[in-house]
Amino acid sequence: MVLSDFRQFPPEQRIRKMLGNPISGLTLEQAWQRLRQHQADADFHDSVWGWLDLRDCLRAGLYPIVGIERGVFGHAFALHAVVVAVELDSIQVLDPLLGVTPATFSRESFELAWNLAGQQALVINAPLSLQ
Amino acid sequence: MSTAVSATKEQIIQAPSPELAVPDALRAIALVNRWLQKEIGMAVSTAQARFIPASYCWHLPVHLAYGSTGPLGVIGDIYLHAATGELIGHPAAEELLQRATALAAAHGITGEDEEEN
Repeated sequence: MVLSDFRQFPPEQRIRKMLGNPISGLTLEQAWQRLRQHQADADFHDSVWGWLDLRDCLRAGLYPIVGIERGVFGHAFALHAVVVAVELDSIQVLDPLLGVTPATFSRESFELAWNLAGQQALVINAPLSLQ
Repeated sequence: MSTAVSATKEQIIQAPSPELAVPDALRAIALVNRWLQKEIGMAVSTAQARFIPASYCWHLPVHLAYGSTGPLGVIGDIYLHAATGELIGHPAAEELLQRATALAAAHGITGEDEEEN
């Protein structure tokens, strides 16, 4: 969704190779830095973004990637990056571990999961250089 | 009660009260996860905080945990002062990373560096 809206369909392995896959887990800030090395126009927002910023970002046609604590949603505890889509009082989360169907959560539980993970957001504004 | 006593009491009540930097467990977890993400990575995190009255600290065990596996084990402990929000005890980031690498290897997980630019 994040890249396909730019008509880019790179295989997951290509993205993993581009970003790296360290044992310690890639942070959104590290991903942002590596995307910029590939001439991507991307923004990283560190704990200054809130619900309304996510909504406005989606209204601009961009899909924010955020870190969440999965334990809030009944999964095993772990921080994890997902793509979000905001509705009025709920949020749709596209979690690669849960397949292609988005999961819907209340605003309250999402905000808790997002806050526990540092409330950061990564937004890709333009296509990547995939050469 | 005399007017003077009432005025004094009013002044005392209105005096600024100290606020705790980390008043609850959720705040403690969020602060420590921010530090862990900044210093190490998203796979190293905490999900629990226990208040220790004697030292006025939060104790938070640090796990290596992936979304696909859940927690694999504890790799360290962090102590966060409830009044000041300072990390008053924690392993060095490099040490946590070494422990995470060893634990991941024990579970058959290996990482990959990013491609050369």
